[in-house]
Amino acid sequence: MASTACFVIVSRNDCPIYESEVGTAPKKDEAAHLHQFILHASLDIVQDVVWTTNAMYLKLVDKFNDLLVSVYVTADTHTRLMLLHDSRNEDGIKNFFQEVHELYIKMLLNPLYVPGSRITSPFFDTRVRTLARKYL
Amino acid sequence: MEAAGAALAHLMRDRFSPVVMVLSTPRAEESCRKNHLGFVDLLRPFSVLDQINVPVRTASEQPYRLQDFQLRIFNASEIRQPSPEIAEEHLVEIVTNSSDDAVGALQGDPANIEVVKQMAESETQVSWFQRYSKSFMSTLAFSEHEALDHPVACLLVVSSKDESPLSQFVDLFNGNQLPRLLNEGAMDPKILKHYVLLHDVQDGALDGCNEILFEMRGAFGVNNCGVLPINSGAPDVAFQLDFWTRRSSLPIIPSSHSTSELVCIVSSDVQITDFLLDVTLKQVIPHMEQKIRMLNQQVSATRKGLKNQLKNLWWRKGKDDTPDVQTGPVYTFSSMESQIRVLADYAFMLRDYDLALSNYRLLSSDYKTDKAWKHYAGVQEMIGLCLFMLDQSRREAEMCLDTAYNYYQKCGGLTAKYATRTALWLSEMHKARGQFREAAGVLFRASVEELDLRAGVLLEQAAYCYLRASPPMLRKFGFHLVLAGNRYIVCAQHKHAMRVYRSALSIFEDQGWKYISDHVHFHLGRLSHFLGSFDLAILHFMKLISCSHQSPTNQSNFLREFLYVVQNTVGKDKLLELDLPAVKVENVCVHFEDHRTYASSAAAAAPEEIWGPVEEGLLPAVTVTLHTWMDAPSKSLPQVKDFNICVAGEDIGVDVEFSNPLQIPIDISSICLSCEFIETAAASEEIDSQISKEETADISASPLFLPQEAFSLKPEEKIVVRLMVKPLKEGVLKVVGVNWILSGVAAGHRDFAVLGPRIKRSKSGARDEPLPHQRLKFHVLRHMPRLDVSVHELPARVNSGELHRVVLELYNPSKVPVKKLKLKSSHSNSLLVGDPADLDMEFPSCLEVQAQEGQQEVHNAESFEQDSSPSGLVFSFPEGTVLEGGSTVLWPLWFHASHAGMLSINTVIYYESDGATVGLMYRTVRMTHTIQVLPALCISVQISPSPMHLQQFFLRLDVENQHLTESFWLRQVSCAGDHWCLAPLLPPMVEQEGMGGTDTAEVRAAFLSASVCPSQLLPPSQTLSLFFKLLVAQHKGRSSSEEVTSNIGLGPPSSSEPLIDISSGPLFRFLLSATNPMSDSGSVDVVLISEQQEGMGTVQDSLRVGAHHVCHCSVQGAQPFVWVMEAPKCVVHDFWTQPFCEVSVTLTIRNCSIFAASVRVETLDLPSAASSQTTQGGWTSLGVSTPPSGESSKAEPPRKSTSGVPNTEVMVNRASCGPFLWCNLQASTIHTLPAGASAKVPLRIAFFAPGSYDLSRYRISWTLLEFEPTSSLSTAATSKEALGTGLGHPLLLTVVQSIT
Repeated sequence: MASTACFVIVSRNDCPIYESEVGTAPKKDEAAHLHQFILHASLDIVQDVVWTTNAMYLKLVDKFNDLLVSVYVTADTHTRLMLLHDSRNEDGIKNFFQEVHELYIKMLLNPLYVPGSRITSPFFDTRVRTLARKYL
Repeated sequence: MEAAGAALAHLMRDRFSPVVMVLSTPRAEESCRKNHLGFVDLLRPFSVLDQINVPVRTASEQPYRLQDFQLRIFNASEIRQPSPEIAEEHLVEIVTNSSDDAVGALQGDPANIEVVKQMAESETQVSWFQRYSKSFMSTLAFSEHEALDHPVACLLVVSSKDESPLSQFVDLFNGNQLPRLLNEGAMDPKILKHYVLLHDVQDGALDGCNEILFEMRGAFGVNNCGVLPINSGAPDVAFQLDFWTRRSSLPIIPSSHSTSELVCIVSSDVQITDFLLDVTLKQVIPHMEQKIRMLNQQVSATRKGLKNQLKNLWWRKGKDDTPDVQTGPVYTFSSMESQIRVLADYAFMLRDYDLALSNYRLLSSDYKTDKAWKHYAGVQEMIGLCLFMLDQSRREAEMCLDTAYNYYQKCGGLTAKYATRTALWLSEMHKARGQFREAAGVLFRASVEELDLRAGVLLEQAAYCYLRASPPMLRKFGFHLVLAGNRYIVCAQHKHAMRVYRSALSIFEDQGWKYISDHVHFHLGRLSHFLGSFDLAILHFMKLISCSHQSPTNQSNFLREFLYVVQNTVGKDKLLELDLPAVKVENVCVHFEDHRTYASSAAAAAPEEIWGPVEEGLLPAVTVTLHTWMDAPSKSLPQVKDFNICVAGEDIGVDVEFSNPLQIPIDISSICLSCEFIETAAASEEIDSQISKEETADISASPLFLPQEAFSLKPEEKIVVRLMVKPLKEGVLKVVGVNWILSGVAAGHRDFAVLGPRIKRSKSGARDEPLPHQRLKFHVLRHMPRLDVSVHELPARVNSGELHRVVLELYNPSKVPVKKLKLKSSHSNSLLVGDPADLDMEFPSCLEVQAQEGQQEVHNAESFEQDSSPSGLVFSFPEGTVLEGGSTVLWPLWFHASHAGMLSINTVIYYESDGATVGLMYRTVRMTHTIQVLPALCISVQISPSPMHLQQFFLRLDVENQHLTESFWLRQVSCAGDHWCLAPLLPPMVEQEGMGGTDTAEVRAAFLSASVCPSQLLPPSQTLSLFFKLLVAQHKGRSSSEEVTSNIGLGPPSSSEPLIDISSGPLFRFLLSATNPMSDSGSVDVVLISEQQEGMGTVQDSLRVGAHHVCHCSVQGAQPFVWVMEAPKCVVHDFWTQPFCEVSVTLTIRNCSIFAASVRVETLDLPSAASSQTTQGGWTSLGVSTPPSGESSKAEPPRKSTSGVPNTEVMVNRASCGPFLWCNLQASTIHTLPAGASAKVPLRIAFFAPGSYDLSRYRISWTLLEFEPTSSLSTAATSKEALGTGLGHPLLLTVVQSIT
């Protein structure tokens, strides 16, 4: 079954620092901006939801038609890991977020990486895709 | 209720006001036509009654008062639902027409978010959206499932001009022009009728009508009749137009009349107001009251109370099995449900919301059980509205509306539109309560199910709701605007789309969400193009074209659209700040030539530092004004640094890096620099101003020559292009940026943003902005010749030691002659300037010894030496060397690399122009050549003193071929200088007298073939040792012949190869440069000359000659002293006559060290028995078999190991030959022996018997005087030699008994 999943890490200043289409659905050109639109718009919701809970995993925060947005907020830098998906698999998504968060922390430990700048490491990318295959 | 709620309530009251139907005769309409208005249009502006105070008593006994009331007046023909197509068309028209209003409502730029927000907050009933929503709702009016729009009263209008008005009245109502609602039985046909006689005052006085009125009253009743006089007023166009256009609401069905060009005569409005007031208060309201009371009674009788409820339940149950049709059962006006609905609606219209609510609730359960979903939804909708009007239980109101929405939606088809209507009400309610997020949600949900255009409108409203939410949800706002824009585009509502996209742009721009901003820019670009604002379109597309993150298909799409727009609009005329291709504007490399010119690009690329030492002494000294901190900072200093200097007519190159960020190839053409050029006003040449003006006019058309480049960039390719500009005139040139044409369509331009280094001013402490660097500014000076210099025949790879003749070519392309040429090279010991005569000769052979020219060559070499030594190796070309314009000079250079490795030779040639009218004093040409020097032959020399002769040494020459592949021919070994000469160390040619002549010849041939060198060819990685005798030259008498003999050909003696002259020519000069001229004469310089044949052919050109120098070989051996005992070889003595023989010998000691020394000579007695008796096994040494006769020098075979060290063992052996006694002092001391001096010590020996004696029984010990290890740089080895001893050399002396 082809599923859509778009994973984005949004930095503190609302810039995407990492984007990848991790779904199995064939990539379409028009999907790219639609996914960005939905994720970008749901930042407004995240902004509200984040103050209502202590958990870092915010679960489903927004939806657009049949596309759902799940969000995980890191504690320190208010970096948001956002996943746009169309399948309801809460546990998998939660695990995925936790593992990616770990990866992201490792990324931050890299002295050559400036926090808040774009993540260009191919290693990070491969690992995220592997995790996506595993959990989503 | 707050203000917003009150406004909404007012809106609802307006919308749900009683409908009055008008039926009029054609003549009545005709009278009204004089005003270009229909009768209905005439009445409508007065239908709002706002200054009334009417008591109303409905079901309850307690009356209440209405302060204002409104009627909706429609023609009978309008009381029907328009067909969906017409309704949609009408709505589309509204949207289209309001596009300008919408822009106007934004007081400012739509891109500014504050302006949008202000607009959204100040939304009023006249906003285009409210107009739209009103029109939309009115298209849904007159539905059979609700009684709100059913006419409450009917106005029958007959003109006073009509014949038999009474029958006309009857005909009007019976005609088939009644609305469908009445005909189909959806409503009660027995409605309130009011008969109106319309009288046109212009046709006659009102009195004529009274008769008819009287008749009417008789026929229809007194209260139901009235007369309305019109057209009584004076024409007053301005007032009238304004009045009607303002008050008239737009009819649903577009009527044919146009209000624009009417010349009207209207009745005074007072009459119409009075008329309507009268109708409303005396007819409509009482009628409604009465009907409510009646129906209420009926409902109470049939439905209220437990009995009725049970009965109803039972009755309904029975109908359970009715099929669930979509519209549910059809209810006629007489059905109970319709009655209740009418009751509730009338109560709602009369604002008795409690009554209405209770009846709606009663009804809703009925409809639900009947599964009449449409009716049910309609009732739910009204419950919601009632609750809102009562301001009770908000939650329930919302739920009811929500239910209504869902059920309407469930019915589908055209009924779904009612869902939208419900959603609109719900969103308005949310908005009135400040719940903007909920309102937005409702609108968004409605938009999903709607048609494109309405969805667009709804989405736009949803977006504004998000904006008004607190805190504003800007991203949602932007997203919904984009969604709305998308829908607008689908419906070809370009202006609306443009507006919303522009509002959205500010949200998405420069946020890093690239796909989003690309999408917005793309649509904005397209819309702008469509709407004709091309500049804007290009601006948006420009932001798109460098999108590296998009897929190649999108990239090419964007690029194509951009090019299409540009091609159709501005074309190549306008320079655009394009990002495609990406230009590195901060990093450009400028190549220009002021007084420094470069012979090759490699020279230009060399760092500036390397030229400093080379140019030292070559350039005229520059006066540098020194500043101290006490001086005032000079203002002129930055001015000087402001400009670079270049020469007119010469190219300036700017290296610009272009890169293609896309994954598609792009074509770029006509790339050139954009420059500003200011010609210097020829102020001094005022006399010639006339002529010069004309000239400048001609030339100034193109004071610059800008060659254009073109190339194609592959995906993600990056190239550096050198763009040229050639100023043709003097002036100030500033390179501003670079222009290009993209794909032959769009002209692009980028300015260079070259910044200078940051200058920190210490005084203020503040860091200044970096000044724009002056790298790109040029002061163009007048023409100055520029020499083209090239070096020919210089190989890129040589073997070390190889000698090459290279040719320096100087070409002066200008017309101005050039003089005072000078040359300096960084490696003066590798590159020498030759003599012009060298050019004429064949290369290898010119090195050979030429007896007749010998003297002259030496002289020449000396002159060169004089040239070079004082001025730091600057070679000045002869004074007369002038390069005329267009002429070429060739000059030979000699190249010789002595060490392996990479050799980069930097050479500078200095010249001055002959003409006075040039811009520069002088110029230099810089050349750099990199030559790889491979290791070839490595030679080392070891010299040891000869034990036989003080003036003779043995020289061992070790040659190692370090080259990996090539082999070398050893040709010649030479010893340079006058002090030494070499002699081959050959086996003695024994003259065997007794043999025959032929044998002698054979032996001689064998000798000749066995030359010094066993094999001339030295293959790779092989070593060869050669031995020579080194003699001190007695250069007193025979200087020139001695020179010749110092060269030894290594070929067989029979070979006729000429020797190579190392005492003159380039070889000599290279040798000179290798040796330190200050060196003492005691050292030896040895040159080995090798040659290589390239290929198999023996062509002379391909012969490569190498010269290897070993310089400063010290003749000093291991010991600082050499000594030789001189004694006769053979002494004849008659021992019979004299029992002992006394021989005097001389010991000569020479001090080879550089210190004075004291020397002590000891003669030794017979050694003790223990030491003398030890005889060595194995080899006994040489001395015994040595023939007593013959020259001792020749008898010495070539020995390697023993040459330096005195052999004590030999001496010991020899001691057993026989006794002899020293007859002198046992020790004599020479207290001071100066360096290099020699001393003789006379000794005497007594022999007692004939025999051969070894005279080595002496010992020399020395002490170096003035020897200070600290001052000397020599190593520890020498310090050991400060004190030393040496034993005597073996020397045989034979004493023979004389026979006589």
